Amino acid sequence: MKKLLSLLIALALLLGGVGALAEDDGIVVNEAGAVENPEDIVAGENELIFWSLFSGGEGAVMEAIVDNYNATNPEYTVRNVMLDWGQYYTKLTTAVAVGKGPDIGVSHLAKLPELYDLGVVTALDAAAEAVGFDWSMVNQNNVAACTIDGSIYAMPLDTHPNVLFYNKDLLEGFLNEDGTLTIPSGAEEFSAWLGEVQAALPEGKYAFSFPTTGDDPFRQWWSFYFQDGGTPVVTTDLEITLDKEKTVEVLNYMKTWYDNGYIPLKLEDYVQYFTAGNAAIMIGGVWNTYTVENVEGLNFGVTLTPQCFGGEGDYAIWGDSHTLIVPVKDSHTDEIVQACVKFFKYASENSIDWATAGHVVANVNVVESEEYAALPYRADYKDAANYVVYFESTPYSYPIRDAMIAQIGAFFSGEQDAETTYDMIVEEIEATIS
Amino acid sequence: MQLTQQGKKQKRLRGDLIAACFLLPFTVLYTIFTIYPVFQGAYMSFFKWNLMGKQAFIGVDNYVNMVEDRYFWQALWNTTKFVLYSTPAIMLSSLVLALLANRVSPLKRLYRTVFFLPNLLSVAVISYITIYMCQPYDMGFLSNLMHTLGAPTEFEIFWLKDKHLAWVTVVVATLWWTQGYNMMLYISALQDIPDQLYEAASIDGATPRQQLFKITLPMLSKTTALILMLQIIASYKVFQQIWLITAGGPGRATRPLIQYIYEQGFQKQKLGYACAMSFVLFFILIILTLIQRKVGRKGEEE
Amino acid sequence: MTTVSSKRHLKARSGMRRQITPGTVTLEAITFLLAFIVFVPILWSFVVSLKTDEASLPGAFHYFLPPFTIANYIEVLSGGTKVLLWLFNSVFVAVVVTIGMTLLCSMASYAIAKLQFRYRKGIYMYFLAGLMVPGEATIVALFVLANELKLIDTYLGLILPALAGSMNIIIMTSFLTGIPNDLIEAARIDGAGEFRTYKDVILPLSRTVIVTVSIFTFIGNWNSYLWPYLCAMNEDLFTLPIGIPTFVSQFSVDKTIPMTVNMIASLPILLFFIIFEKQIVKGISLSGIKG
Repeated sequence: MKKLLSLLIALALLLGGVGALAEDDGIVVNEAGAVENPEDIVAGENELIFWSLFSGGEGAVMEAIVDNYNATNPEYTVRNVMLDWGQYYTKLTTAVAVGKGPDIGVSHLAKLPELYDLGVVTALDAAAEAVGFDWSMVNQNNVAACTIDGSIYAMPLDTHPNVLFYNKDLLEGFLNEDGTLTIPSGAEEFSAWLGEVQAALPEGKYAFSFPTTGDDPFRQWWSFYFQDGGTPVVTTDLEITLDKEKTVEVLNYMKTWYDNGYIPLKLEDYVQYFTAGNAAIMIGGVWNTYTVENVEGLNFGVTLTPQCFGGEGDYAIWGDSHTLIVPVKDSHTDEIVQACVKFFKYASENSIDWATAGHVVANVNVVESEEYAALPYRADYKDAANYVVYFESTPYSYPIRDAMIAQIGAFFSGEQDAETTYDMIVEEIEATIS
Repeated sequence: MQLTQQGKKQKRLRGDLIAACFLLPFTVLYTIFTIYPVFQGAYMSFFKWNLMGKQAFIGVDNYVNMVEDRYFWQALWNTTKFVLYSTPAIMLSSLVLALLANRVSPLKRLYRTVFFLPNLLSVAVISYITIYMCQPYDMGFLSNLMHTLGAPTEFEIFWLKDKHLAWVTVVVATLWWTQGYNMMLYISALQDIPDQLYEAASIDGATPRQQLFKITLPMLSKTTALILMLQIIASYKVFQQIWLITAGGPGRATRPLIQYIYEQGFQKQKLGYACAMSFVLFFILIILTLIQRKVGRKGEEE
Repeated sequence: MTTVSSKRHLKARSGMRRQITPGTVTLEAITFLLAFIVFVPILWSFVVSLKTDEASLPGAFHYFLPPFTIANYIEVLSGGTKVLLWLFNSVFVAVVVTIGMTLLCSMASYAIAKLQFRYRKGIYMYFLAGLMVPGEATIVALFVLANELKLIDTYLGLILPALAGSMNIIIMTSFLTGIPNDLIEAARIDGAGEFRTYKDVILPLSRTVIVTVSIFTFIGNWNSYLWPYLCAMNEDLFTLPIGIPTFVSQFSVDKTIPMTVNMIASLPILLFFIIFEKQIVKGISLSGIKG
């Protein structure tokens, strides 16, 4: 037994040694014996911890931005820590509540009112003024959305709507002269077009790579619903004004895509399905641009998602916006908050880098710049940001959204009809708000 | 040497003190981290409590809401479903594997090792493997296997996305992951069965099949009862692999009670409500444990 | 007379028949097939980790075909990812919990089994009660308590609650009760104090049960998910079950890097088991079901 135990200890020491070697930022991890409090390990001298929820391509780009910022030798460096985006807000709010939160965080615009309500975010006005951050260089719609009770609580980084990716090779014959794709408008027309594409494809391939459950069906429904002139789901006065007729109409329309065989059923990994060349089009967030363009041999283009409802001037799409926040923390002095805002300023001014992740950046100077116009694909959809319909500002956007995603997913899975879906959504929202 | 009354008392006191030294470290930790949370949880269940602290006393409101909460019952039923589906499967498979791995064979040690191996993997690893193996459209191992063996291209089995198949996936993954543990217990029980019984039976002309049913299985009944109760109790606490494989999905079809407790407590910040639901789970487990102790004690008397 | 029957006795003594019958062969084949099926997911994961991602690989089977490369391993191990740190954390916490548990529980069990003191029965019942308290049902209250004690997001926070389970006490107590008292008396007569007796007599004698209990504690803690998930806020503190999902969630298309991480996380403990298998199995068989 002694031998067993000593071998265990030896193994632990060995791995500890290797683990310490793997630490490339000079922070000592304890090896055998002294247990150091990881909070002390975590933040080095003058280091800001940044919890980011960006993954994949975005994650890599954000990491590059942070590295570039640190390379300018600021007084406070930033350390980028990537979290699993699915549980990000739970982790963030829990950590802040127990005083172990990060110095910098991310918030979707839809989540911000809730975070404000929970007392998680710090007002940025004073710090912004101190470091000379000019709010007018950021898209004013976004800034307005970040303003609660007269103070600004977040700095908008981007707007990210859903766009349509298309495989040029599979769509030979459907493309325009210049190689771009024009999607027909109108519900019938679009469906007919999908039918034609499906017929023209070889066996085993689908016209449209799209999941059955999850965020994206909800987001597409959202786009169509508001094109159709739908009223907000919940108003700022917490009144439920979700329109039943229009909800049902859009849901039933979208179902025909699945029923007609244009979409592979119960698909989960729809991005990989598209990049593997199995589908003609895909609808997904702009952040997929980075992933898709790095796939070798994929000849693709990007355009706006279709308008299937409403008329001229009714175009609307789902989108959200990433903002940077300073979570509340006892140890935060004015100096530290200003240091955070300095990083925000840098990120905003240099958000041409962020654009490589596919997003439409919020900094107006960058968006209108020549550099931006020269970016492949991104220039094609930068106007999409103007048509985004956001949630009304309530602390319940995320639970509402979760309820809708669950019910809409159940609908497309064939478990319930559209009317029931509507009723269940309203029921869940009522339970949440009460 | 006769001890005086005083002497006896001193000796007893000294005995107590020494015992206390031996007992103290564990007892302190145990009281703080195992026993106290039970009372703390009971207390919290009568309050509205979020991460910032106690908010308001609301009496039995949490319990009333719980009874009316459709999703609570759904989660409780899901956990029960998991217990009902997985327990017989795991019991049977671990027994069969134990019998097979205990046979005389040059590969005996290999079999035992291989069957036990998955149990050593972390839940994160087995969950990722499961997800990836179950992807449809040839992106996953099973789908590709199926099509290679001749299934038509359009034919797909949605291991993760179908409401009912998701259960199959979760149960099979759990089985693959945990059967090795019970198998080991069975093997050690099998090795405890005296050889003479088998010898005597062979001399009497009993076939291996008869030996299996008349000697082996009855001799294992005590072990089986024990493993059964442990398995049921462990299954009621299921959370991590379902969380990582299906996240309670599709929709909420596989969401177990502990996940619902976690979501209500930490995502919705309703800690008091989460504690109330925890108590229901607690009571179920107490009842099961009491049954298990009773069965175990009865088995010892035999 | 004796020759024939004693020969048959010898044959049967091996446990099962030694003759190679068609039945034996079939059973062997079935067992082998089952072992293969159980092993295939692990094998497949391994070959996936040996390929760099070509997003257009037509199907999962193609991973079995060469060429193979260890480029992923090099990338993960050298690229400053946190995987090794998480591996260290898992091992460190599991080892500390195992050693701590061994010490604390064996001491407490010794007291209950062998020492004379008042309330002996009472304390035992107190520990017994804890068996009915599952960690999962008290996790919310535990979190609030740990927060008050400032243990959230610390190594102590990961370790201390894991030491507080009474199952091992029950197992060890029943084992220690079986140790003959003469040995203890002998030590006492020799003038050894209780601690000496504990250290020199009890511990060596309980080797088998300690090994068993240690191994299952280690494995149990290795796989512990729910509490570390709640307790560890900082990614430097993550253990493997918590860290790996956050790491792999960054890879939406590439599957080979996540598999590499899974392999790196698993190989140490698999090797550990293969090396110590004999002791592990022996330990289980000697005190497994009695507990």
